[in-house]
Amino acid sequence: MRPFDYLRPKSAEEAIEMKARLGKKASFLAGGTDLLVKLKEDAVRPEALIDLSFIESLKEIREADGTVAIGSLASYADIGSSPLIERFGYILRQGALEIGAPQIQNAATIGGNIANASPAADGIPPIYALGAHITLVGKEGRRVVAVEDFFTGPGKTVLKEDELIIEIGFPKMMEQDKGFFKKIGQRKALAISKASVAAVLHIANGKIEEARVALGAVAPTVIRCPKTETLLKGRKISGSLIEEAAKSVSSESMAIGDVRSTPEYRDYVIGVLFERGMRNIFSDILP
Amino acid sequence: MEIGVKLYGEFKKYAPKDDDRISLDNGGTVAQALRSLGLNDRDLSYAMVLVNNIRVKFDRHLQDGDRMDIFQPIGGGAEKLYRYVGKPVPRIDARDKVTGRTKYSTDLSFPGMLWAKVKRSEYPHANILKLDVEKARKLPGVEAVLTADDIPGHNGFGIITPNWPVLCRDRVMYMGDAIALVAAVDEETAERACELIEVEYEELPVVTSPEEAMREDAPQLHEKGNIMHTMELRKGDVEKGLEEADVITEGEYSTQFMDHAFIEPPGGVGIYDEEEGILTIWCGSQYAFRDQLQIARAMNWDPRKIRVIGSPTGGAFGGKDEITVQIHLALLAYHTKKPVKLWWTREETLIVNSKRHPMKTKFKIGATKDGRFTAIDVDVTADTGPHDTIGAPILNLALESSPGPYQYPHSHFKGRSVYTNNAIGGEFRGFGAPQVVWGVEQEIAKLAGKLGIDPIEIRKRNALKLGDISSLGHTMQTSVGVTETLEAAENSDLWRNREKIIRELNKKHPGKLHGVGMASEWHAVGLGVGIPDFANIDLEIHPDGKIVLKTGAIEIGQGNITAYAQMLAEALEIDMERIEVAHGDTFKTPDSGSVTASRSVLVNGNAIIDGADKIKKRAILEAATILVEDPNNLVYEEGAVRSKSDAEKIVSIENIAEVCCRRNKPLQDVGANIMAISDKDFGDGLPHNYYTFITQVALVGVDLKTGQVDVLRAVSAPEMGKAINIHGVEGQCEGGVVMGQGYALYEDLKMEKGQVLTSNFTTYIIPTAVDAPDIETIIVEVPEKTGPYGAKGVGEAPTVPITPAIMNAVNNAAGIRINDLPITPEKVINALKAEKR
Ligand SMILES: Cc1cc2nc3c(=O)[nH]c(=O)nc-3n(C[C@H](O)[C@H](O)[C@H](O)COP(=O)(O)OP(=O)(O)OC[C@H]3O[C@@H](n4cnc5c(N)ncnc54)[C@H](O)[C@@H]3O)c2cc1C
Repeated sequence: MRPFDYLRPKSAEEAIEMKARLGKKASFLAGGTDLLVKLKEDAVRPEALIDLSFIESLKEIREADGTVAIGSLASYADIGSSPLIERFGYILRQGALEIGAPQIQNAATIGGNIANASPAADGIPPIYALGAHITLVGKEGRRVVAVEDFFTGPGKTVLKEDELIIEIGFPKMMEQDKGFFKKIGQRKALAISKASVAAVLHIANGKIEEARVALGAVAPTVIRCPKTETLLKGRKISGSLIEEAAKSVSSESMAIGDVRSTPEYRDYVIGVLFERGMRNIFSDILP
Repeated sequence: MEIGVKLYGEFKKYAPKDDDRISLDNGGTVAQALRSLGLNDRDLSYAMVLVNNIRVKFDRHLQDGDRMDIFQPIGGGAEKLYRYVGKPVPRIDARDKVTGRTKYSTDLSFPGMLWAKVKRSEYPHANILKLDVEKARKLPGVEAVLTADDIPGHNGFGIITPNWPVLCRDRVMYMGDAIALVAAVDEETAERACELIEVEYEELPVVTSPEEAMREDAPQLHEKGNIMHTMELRKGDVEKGLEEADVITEGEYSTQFMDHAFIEPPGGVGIYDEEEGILTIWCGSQYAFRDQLQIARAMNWDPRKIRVIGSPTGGAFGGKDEITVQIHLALLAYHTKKPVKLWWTREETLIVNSKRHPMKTKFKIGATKDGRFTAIDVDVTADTGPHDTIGAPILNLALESSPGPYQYPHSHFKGRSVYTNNAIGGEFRGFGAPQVVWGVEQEIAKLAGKLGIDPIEIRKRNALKLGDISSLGHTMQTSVGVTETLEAAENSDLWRNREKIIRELNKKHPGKLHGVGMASEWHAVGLGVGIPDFANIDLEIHPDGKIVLKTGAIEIGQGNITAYAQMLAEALEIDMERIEVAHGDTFKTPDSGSVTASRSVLVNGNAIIDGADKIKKRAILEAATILVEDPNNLVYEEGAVRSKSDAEKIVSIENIAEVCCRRNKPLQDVGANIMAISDKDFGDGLPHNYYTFITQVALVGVDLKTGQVDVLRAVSAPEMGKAINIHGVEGQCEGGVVMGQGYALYEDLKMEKGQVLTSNFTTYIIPTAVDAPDIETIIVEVPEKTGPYGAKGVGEAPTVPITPAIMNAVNNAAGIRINDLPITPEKVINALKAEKR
């Protein structure tokens, strides 16, 4: 590891000001669970770290007219134990509890997970499925970006050099909404996803009115499944619909092979995950 | 009244002189009779008494003319009651380890200490055209940059053939090869200096597999060619044996590179004391005395001026028997004259350190209709990487282990270990056995299936027994518990109730199929014929009552020093708390050989008993002068020497020690043991004379849609002669199961064109606590009379058959077989698809 300066801003404004001043030379530090690994491997060489972890205001999870807003510094342990998330965004809770292991969840933040922009990040498919927006603040002001527009490639986002992720907001899941997050890794804990899937379905009159399905680890970024979503729209839940949709999910997966798995397996198993998730949430109406 | 008495075993010493009767007051009890004979409390705690051929309690009243038989229950019957041996004893090093008080060598720090880094190869195979270290030397804070030119002695190390370069001069042969060493004021500066070292390479073709290496046009990695070692063994006529078979099974199996994944990556500290001319190296190690010699050879030094302290080591599993940091530390400490610390990163460990060899093995086994094996033919090819280390004996042990603990009238074993530019194949718990047992135990399962015989039954029918001629042709001279471990596994809850357990789980988890599988193994203990296999210990009795045991054996986490303390406490009949064990230091302890080959309890244990016997004899002689008594009338008992006839005459060993000290002849002695060897010599260290036998059972769940395999329960039934520490054996079995599960399901050091693709623990996957199954250990004892208290060894076997047991369980669940490790979900799904077709 190389030496670096360590800065500790007390507010978001101060953090942004520091970053604007130092530019590329500085990195924000949240839980450090991605950044420290990269520092150790010499994959990044910042001259200064701006430690966000003392900015309490960025750790809040709150609700405001129909939406839930999660401060970017909220840890996955915070998210996993938040009653608001459990009630209005439980698929994110499911994701939070599958990140690494408890020690990692205590340190890892949602902002860091998003900024790191791994296609295998377990916090990202749930916020796609929830239809989230990400609030960014930089020297030039505040902007709100739809989650789909935020990621541009593996490790790549639209975040500008001086911008800080402030919060992640999403419309509350209502009683008619059902959803799930499922992942598969190389072992039961401390496992990066080989494939993951999140879905939110809005149900009215026994039919799927709207569906949002997001896949992780099978494309350069987390992706939505437009064909599957269209296929589900307006349909009544049935075993055969789920099977058909699972096949469609597999066909929309665009996995590559690496040390963790093969493209064939990923494309295949993501359909299995989807099918299992659907069968779980509709177990009351399915035979 | 008159009572007839007969004493057996060690109790014979209490027999009344020239008589077989004693007189006792009327109405006396058995206890009173025993006391009057001279039996003490300890004897009473385990003596067994028959009165007129009926076993009785000691409060039984005797009648005139009764006959008493007084036994010390040993051997075949009930067992001798020991105070420490065979008990679950907490580890003597546990408290300091769990509280963090123990200092491992990598925890050490000294004023003015420098940090070292190793400049390593950037190609798996290349000529070094130019090496320029000037820029690195000039970097402020750098105190030394060393290259091959700075090595005073032999530029190489290796347990068998020292051809692993300390620092490469003109060629690198794998990604872990070292080129230069840096010592600097801190770790960061040392890293920067490594970056400033300029190496000009000429890339050479990379040999990525034994198959490729054995092609005629393959680039030759060594002068003698690409085949490092071959071995062939034969008994009878394998062709004839196969002709006699009613069924023949055949299969080809392959295994991956596996990393030891010990907690403490190799590291340590070196200090050169200029005044005394002594070099001290603290390092993770399995054999400080061999390290000392390997350092001396490279430094061209007198080994007596090199002190290596290897204890305690934070896990080794075979991965620290070879040199890691020792010579580099010696060179840097000597050159800088300052304390130097070198500690490999995890990535470095995964790339540089030796691994379990990948092997490809072909089996052909014949059996008659009633399930008797007629012949076995085995062919093994090992990938040994670029340097020798201990690859040859590993191939040999693979051959020895490959038939399993069974009778075969005819056999043929052939193997070769081949150089490549991959990771280094080296020592790893199991020493060649896991790779072949993976195959043979599947082949036997297949045979059992073909013949419609229960898998445990077929093994029992062929199980080796004491006195049998083995499949290799040597005599089974020491305790053989194959049948006993098979029976223990057969009687386990998991095996007996497997059908019910499987049925219930299948019902509870639709989409999953469950299965139970088993496998067995014999695992050689000790180094084998022709290889010096000895231990020395020192014993000191201090006047303050402390008893010091010194052994060169290193504590690598396996709990050996606790077992030593138990055996010594037992031998000297004293409280274990009085014993202090010094271990693993070439200046402070005697050479006890390497902690390897499951040998350290067996060979050190015998040395301890030898030492204790000498101390007891000497104590009696000294006591004779103190008590003014004929030594023949003195006995050693419970840490004291007493007169047989005068209860008043007694002196404790600490008091004897005090007198000895005053007389300037401290009460101390040495103990030694040389391991007994086989009746045959097949050359190259084969065969062995002692074996651990073990049967393991696994319960798995197979997810038919994702292909994931979960190991839910595991049973180990090891036969290690005698369990010295119950906790120790359980610990070895539990750790062994999880390690074998990792080998079965997750662990894979993936290589591509000589590059390691899984060089940290995000990609090199080992099981976590939530992956580990519930583990049951059933200890099976068939005491070995030449072992200390009947013990052999148990360090390696528990990690071996569990891997094929898991596969046999997957087969039992889902009908598939996978021949190449690990059993990944990807392979399971493909196999399930093929099975459907
Ligand atoms: C052992 C282990 C297991 C893991 N397992 C999983 C897993 O199962 N699933 C998973 O998804 N991830 C996993 N991770 C990855 C990691 O924990 C997560 O991605 C985590 O959410 C990152 O958050 P952090 O707070 O630690 O980010 P940091 O490491 O502090 O930062 C990551 C990046 O984000 C930037 N950043 C952080 N906060 C902000 C902000 N507010 N605004 C702008 N930029 C910011 C930083 O500058 C840095 O570039 C694992 C990591 C480890 C070490």
